[in-house]
Amino acid sequence: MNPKIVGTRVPRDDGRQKVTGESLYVDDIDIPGMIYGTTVRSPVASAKVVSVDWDEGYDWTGIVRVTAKDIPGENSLPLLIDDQKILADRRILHMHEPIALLACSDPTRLREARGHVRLRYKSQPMVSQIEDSLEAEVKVFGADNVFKDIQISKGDPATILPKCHHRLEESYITGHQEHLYLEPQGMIGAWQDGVLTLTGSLQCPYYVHKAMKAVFGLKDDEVRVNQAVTGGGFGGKEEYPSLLAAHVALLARKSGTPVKMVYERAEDMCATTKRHPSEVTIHGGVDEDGHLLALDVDVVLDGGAYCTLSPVVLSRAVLHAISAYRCDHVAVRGRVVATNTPPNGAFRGFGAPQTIFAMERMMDLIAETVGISPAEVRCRNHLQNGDSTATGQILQQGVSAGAVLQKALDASDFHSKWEAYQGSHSNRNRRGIGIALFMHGCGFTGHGERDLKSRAALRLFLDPQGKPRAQVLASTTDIGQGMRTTFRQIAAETLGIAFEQVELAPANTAGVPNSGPTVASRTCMVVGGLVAEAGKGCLQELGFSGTTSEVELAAALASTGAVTCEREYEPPPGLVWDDKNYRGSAYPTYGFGCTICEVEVDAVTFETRILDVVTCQDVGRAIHPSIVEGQIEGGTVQALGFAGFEKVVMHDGTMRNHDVSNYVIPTAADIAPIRVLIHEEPYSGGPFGAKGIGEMPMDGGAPAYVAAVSQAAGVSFQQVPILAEDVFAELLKKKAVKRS
Amino acid sequence: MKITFELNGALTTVDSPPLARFLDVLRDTLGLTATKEGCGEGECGTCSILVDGEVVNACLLPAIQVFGRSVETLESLSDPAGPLSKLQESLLATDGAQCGICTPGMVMAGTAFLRQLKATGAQPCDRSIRQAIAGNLCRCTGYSKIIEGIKMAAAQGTPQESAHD
Amino acid sequence: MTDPRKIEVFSPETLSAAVQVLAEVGSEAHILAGGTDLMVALEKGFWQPKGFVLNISRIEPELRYIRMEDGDVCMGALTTFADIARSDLLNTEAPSLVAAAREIGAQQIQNRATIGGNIMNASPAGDSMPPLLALDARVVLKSNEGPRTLPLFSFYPAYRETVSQPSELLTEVRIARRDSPTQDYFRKVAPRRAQAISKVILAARAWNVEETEEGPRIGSIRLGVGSVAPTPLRLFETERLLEKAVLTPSLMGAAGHMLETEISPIDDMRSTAEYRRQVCRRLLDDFLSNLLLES
Repeated sequence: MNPKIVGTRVPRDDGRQKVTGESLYVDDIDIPGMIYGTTVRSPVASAKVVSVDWDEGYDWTGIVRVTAKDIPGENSLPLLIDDQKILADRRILHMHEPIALLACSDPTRLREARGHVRLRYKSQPMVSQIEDSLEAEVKVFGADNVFKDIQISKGDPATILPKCHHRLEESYITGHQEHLYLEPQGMIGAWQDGVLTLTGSLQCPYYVHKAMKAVFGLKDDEVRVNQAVTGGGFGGKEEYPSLLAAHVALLARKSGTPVKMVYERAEDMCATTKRHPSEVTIHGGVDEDGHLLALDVDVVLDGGAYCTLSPVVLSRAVLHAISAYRCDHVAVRGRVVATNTPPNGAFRGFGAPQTIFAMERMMDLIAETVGISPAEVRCRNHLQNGDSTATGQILQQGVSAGAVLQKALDASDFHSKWEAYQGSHSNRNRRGIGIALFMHGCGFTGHGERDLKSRAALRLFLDPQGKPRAQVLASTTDIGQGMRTTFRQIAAETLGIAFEQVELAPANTAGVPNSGPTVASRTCMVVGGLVAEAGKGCLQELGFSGTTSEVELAAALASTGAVTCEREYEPPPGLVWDDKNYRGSAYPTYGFGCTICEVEVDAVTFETRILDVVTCQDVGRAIHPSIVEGQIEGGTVQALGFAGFEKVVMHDGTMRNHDVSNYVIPTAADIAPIRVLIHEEPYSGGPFGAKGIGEMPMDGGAPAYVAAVSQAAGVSFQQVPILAEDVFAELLKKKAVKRS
Repeated sequence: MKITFELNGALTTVDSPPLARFLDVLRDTLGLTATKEGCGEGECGTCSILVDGEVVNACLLPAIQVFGRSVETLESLSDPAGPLSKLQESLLATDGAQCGICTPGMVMAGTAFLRQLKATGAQPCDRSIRQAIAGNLCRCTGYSKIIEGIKMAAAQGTPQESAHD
Repeated sequence: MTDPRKIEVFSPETLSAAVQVLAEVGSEAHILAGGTDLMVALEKGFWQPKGFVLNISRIEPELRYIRMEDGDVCMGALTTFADIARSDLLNTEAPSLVAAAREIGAQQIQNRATIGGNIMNASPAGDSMPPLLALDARVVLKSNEGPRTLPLFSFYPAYRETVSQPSELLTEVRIARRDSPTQDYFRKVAPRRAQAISKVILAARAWNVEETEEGPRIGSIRLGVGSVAPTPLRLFETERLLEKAVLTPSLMGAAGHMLETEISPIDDMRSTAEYRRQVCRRLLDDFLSNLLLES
């Protein structure tokens, strides 16, 4: 094969529409007769509902009102365990929980009417954080507040750990993180002839499809879900849109008109999911040279008030707890617990950034304890071909940890900078440099992909000019990550036709097969792989064993007619997973990455400035180098935000800083150029060797940043985010600065 | 009340409450949806437009204050299927748009910046470009490819003439 | 409740017409300049206008200027922060104000926000007031009965309040042209480098810093701080300690101590009282250390 399209920077499929503003997002779509919806929310975090009443003195003419009583079937949102209510009816478990819905043609009246819904309730004790949840005096979920408990065990850490030359223990904390996709959640729902059509800002059309079938008792063809152009997702539009869909569908059903609901920014920040806060404790044992001998890791995630996808997030968290390191004796226990805070959910990295943060900081502690550099401790312990992971998965090939580590070290001049910054601390601004090595499992965990049975298809036909054209049929959504372009490249390359001769069918459940959700760094590797396989299938049906000339292809299509080939995912041979004992191949393959961050801490104000960021990431094969760089740059900046800027001030179960002024994401002025090095260690199971890259960039930024700040400040930090106030408080504690 | 102003080169009159957000006038009254809403409080810059050539947030602009002014929105930079402005072309080339919701505002802020460069004859640097778009949040790109795009457009010359004039 | 957007707006074309309106019905008027604060408050429902809105943007020809007059640098109330940021005159005469202007919001805000609006919004976190206090700025309020000029330090009696009367319109800010050498300082501490609300601001100006055998001697000094008290604040007592005194480490310590007694920072979602107090003190230290170094 002689790739001509894969590996090149073809113009982005949707680039023109985006730079001209022609792309239509939910809020840009207008349907005749459409009215606007809004959600009435709980002002309390934990309560028993007495009643939901309408202010009798208010003129409700022209306002459609919906409560839980209007739900035709079960009042529950189907996800993993269906515990979440569509509208709270008896019990309120978190602030801003939906309790009623209103719709009206005049958005101003709607805002006003919201103030005339009377909720009567009896307050109940609340659980606001992990410690209280574990005590389980107040029950938010089940008997013990634990949504899921997972254990991984390998070797005999209990015996080995006490015998290690150095034994270390440390706890690590990460906070909530808000997605802050710049387009808030939005959905339009309409009923016509018994068919529900939804158009929304979303990642997973078939999630919404499945949920609506269950809520309204509909058949497959009675629900149609379209993805509007989506202004960012990052996981925030994975499961949440199903709730919004149920809400607009209920309003549309009662009003008989299409209903659009677009969240206000504050509402979106208060009510929708966030990244799970975590508390991770690691007991580590190493020999005198810093080789890992045994690890015992305890992970607790705060799931919020409802289960959502928390068990799966926990799964990825524990599976990444040992990250990119070799260790023969490992115990990992993970729990995700319930609190009376808005439910947490999917967010880029999906649990991995939390545990990788802890493990990377532990590696720094080991280096410090043993007296070697943070680079050296990673060189001594990183995974290599033939090593096994915590679940006993033997990584036969493609382990690029050493390669990405070396490239990043070289490009950043880590060694000499680290040495220089170790020196004496003057009163002037001080610099530090930090490193993180990490890996990320590509695709769904364990048998997830096998059970999903994702499908994608290609249709090959002649256009009116007699040229071969192909259409990709997949329910995968472009949420900015460039999937439309990548899939067209994969199809064009496989079929041997031009990029321009491939198009994508709209991501609409009525027209494309279920390709599974757009999550888990699976889009390119798994669904892109199906597109490639479908392409090969099309060629085979036409009698070709590989690509051929356009003339021959056109001739074959002229005689055979259009061909369509659909492929269903088949797990690669040898992939065995024991979900009960958490043993075996957790992921078909892993990407590896290394991020190095250099900072300066202001001696007067304790503010941190980012000076340089270098990151090397193994993507298997970069189908589109710019798109891959864009994922890495954007993910790295999001991780730096998580590390040094973004603090969700959660108080009494509500996010206090629910605006873009006070929840601070980095601006262009806060960020140094991100120097990206792409490493390609092809994966035979991915299209043209591609692995996943969507989430991995989120893994390394936080530990690298915190390590750099720790070196610069001369005190070690074990949490994110770290703000100037935290640096100051820690220095004060250590008496490294004087209180007057 | 009736408010008359110049919109993308054409004299325009709208009937609007005086304190309506000009963003709503553009999107709802005039149907010009290229200008997006991200936060509604002047922080994110997705609603950036040009008023008398200066970049401002349309969500903070009361309709009454566009009276007699000249307003440019993203729609003014190119025609459907027509050639793009140099900055739009550059952002396309550098992959500066991912989800695209911040892109209209970025293009407007970038256009104002490039015009300023042209007027003063200054050369752009990484730092000055970062300052110029610091009022435009992006959650996808990490800004690098947007900055590259602005740099590329600056190197190619004038932004205010779109490629077709 | 009516839609606040539909509230009546009056847009006079001249300053005298605006002042006349205020004379008649000033207590019902809400004054709208660049809108960067009011529109947010309106959107979020924090602001429910009870009377009418007086939109002064059309008096721009009379109220948007930066010029010398009677030995003062004068800025019209509708001068935008972008105007200030690019003013050569102010860059020479009031570098701390120019520095503040360049850090307010970002370009979009600087193009709309006005100096008059920032002063009248009376936020303790307002970016322009600390430098204006350090520059000994005076504000001119105009009513039907004529103008009155008062120092900015006397303008804020309490949190979010000003001494301006309903019949008065802030029309001008004046800074005395410097007649002797000064050293200026401005530092805004904020959670990010643009689009940020300040956590601590210190602006300072020292006049006539002289060399003496024991060290530099400050002729006079003005210190303005933000986000560390219910109002923008001038640190009179700290200034008194430093004025005409020779700068020594022990004096710097005493000044820092005095500063702490003058400010009253709080814990909120943006920062902590302790951080604000200590960093405010450290900023003063930073400024004074610069004086030591330069001497």
